[in-house]
Amino acid sequence: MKKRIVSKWLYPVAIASLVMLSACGGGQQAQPSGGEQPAATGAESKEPIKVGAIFSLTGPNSPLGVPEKQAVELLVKEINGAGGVDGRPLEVVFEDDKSDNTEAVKAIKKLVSKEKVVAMLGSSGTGPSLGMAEFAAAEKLPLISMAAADQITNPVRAGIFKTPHTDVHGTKRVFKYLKEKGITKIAMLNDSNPYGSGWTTQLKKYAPEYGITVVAEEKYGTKDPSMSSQLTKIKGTDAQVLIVAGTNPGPATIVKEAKQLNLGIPIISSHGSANSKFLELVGDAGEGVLMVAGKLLVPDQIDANDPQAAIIKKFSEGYKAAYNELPDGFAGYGYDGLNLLVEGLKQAGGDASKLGEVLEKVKYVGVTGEFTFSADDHNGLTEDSMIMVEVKDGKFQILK
Amino acid sequence: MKQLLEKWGKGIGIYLALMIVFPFVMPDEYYRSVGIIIGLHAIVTIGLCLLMGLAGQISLGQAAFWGLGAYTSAVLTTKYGLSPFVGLVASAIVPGLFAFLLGRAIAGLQGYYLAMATLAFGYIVQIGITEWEPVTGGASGMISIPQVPFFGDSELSMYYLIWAIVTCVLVFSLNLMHSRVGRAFRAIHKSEIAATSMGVDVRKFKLNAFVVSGMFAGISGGLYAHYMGILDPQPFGLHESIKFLTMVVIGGMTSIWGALIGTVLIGFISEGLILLSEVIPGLQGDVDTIVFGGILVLIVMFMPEGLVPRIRSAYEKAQAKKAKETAAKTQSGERVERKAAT
Repeated sequence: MKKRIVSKWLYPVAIASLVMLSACGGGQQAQPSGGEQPAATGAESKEPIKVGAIFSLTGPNSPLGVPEKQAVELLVKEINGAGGVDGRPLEVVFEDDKSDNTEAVKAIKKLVSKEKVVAMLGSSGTGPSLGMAEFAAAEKLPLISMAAADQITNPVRAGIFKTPHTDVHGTKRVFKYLKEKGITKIAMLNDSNPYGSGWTTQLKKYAPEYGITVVAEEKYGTKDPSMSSQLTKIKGTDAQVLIVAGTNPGPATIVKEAKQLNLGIPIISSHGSANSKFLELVGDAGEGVLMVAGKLLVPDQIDANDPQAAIIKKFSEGYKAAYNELPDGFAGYGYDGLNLLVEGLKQAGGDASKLGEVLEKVKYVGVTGEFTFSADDHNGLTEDSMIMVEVKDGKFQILK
Repeated sequence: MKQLLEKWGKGIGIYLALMIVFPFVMPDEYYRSVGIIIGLHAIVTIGLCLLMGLAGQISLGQAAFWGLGAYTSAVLTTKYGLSPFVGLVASAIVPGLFAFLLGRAIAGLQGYYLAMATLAFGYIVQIGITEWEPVTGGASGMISIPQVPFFGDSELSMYYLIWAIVTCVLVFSLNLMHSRVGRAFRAIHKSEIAATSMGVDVRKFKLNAFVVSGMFAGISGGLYAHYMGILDPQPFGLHESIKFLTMVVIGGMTSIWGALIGTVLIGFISEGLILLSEVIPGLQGDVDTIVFGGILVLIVMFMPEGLVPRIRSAYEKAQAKKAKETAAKTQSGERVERKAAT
């Protein structure tokens, strides 16, 4: 009899204690990870400047968010080692949005109300970034996003900036290359997620300007295991080149299947797939694939006279030393984001309330490109900071 | 009002007190936003509870109604400049209509087939929202959806707006349960054949349950859209539907309070996990999915009726036992007295 009572009460009690346990954690503040120790330069006596950073550390966007966080952590250490910003140490409080819009909005509210951050970085994906931007714009909190979509900074909102190349830059750079080569008929096969559909819109919009016609417009689902039916359709058209926009593994699958189907036309893949993971996934089938990307993809092939050469070299060497791998474009977006914020803070004399205005005048040479922010351009990049590369012998080779 | 209090006296009193006090116990904007999200989920799960627990119909597509509501209000207010209140009314009607059509089409289905049909409906809606780009903005979604102007647009006023709606939905559902309709629902749940033979129009009642649950989900969706300010199709998939299902099952399908408590519990546990992850660094990311899955398995194995009905029956048993004991005591006491007297 006694035993039965025990078992009857065990589960409610167990669950209740679980809840209690989790409620007990309530007193704990979010731990700032990385670089919160003030440097031994007398900066510790001053109050730190608190910046929030929300990245997608888990979920489908984690291949973007993890390198972004690593780059930011590295930079925080470096900045504090050099005496901080205006003599005050920099403190970055990280949150994970799990690649989810609601979580991102909750996280930014938490950072603002609990941590009293003065500026924000993030997030990795478009949806979470847009949600955060909505809140940040209402709160007049400066935010620099690492997501690709054009609509984050178009239309321009006070205090909202972003670092990556947009689909507009990628489209223009690819079309410039096609014009040089005299190619006029293109097919496209893009992911149906926000990134891919952004590319579809821009490719269609700018094609007439460069005298290009779109002869086939296909798309695929992010998790589709095979795109051979779309490729067969494209093979039946007179397209001279296939443009693919998506994040891995989709583009890699397309490249492999195109080889099996003997598609016979060159493939140009977007900057969303331009990283070492792509090379790993395509293997031999990748030979001859063209990509449009930022210069950071080939740090050792950048011309020494390039204004970006110095910072790319410094960042890629520092990153390699810390994490034993070369940084990809996403790490670069995070690195540039924090650098821009710090540059803005320095120019504003550490006064965060002026940051939004000051950032509009900032000029800064980053690893992604040369940023020239203005009142009506909160991305500040041009398509000229992107390069075309070819996959040769399992490596990226810059096309001159 | 007096009747209300008599019917579920203590329950509703405790609920109201907790609900009103919460934002002041946690005077932190962040916990208010957590409270808002929990409230939004609660509106959906109470509707789902009516459908699942009372009428015995499973729905794996509840997030689709949620999404329909969200997009209806968002499109009307952002594209056509209507007031958010008009948008919210429409966000109840449009998913209700969809639920009506879906319900009519699949009212004859049961068990697995019903689950499959609602699952498919969920996918169709999510794909439809993604593809209908001129209206919904496609995969990139919509931005700058206006706030609901309810005594300003602070976190606190939004909290009270949402929990006021939760309260309305709750009272409506509790009332429904104690009415003829509620009894008919429960009869359908036990056995459709028996219910039919007792003169219950099974088809009509099932349809009603579908429409009501769809409308609740729609209202919650509309509020979610205005609260977030942006929308994309990602949150309205199977994952969210299953999360709603988990909340209802944990709390107890057959009880409206169960749905509410299950929702609050899941909300608190995921907040607790976030706090724990700051102490234990390994506990990051999708841990909550694993924990919820584990809890669901435990509940289904050991308490298939759910938390609230189990606690309630345990409480009632304890009361009965106590009553028995006191009765026995007084009896034996009387006997002793009688003995002493003789």
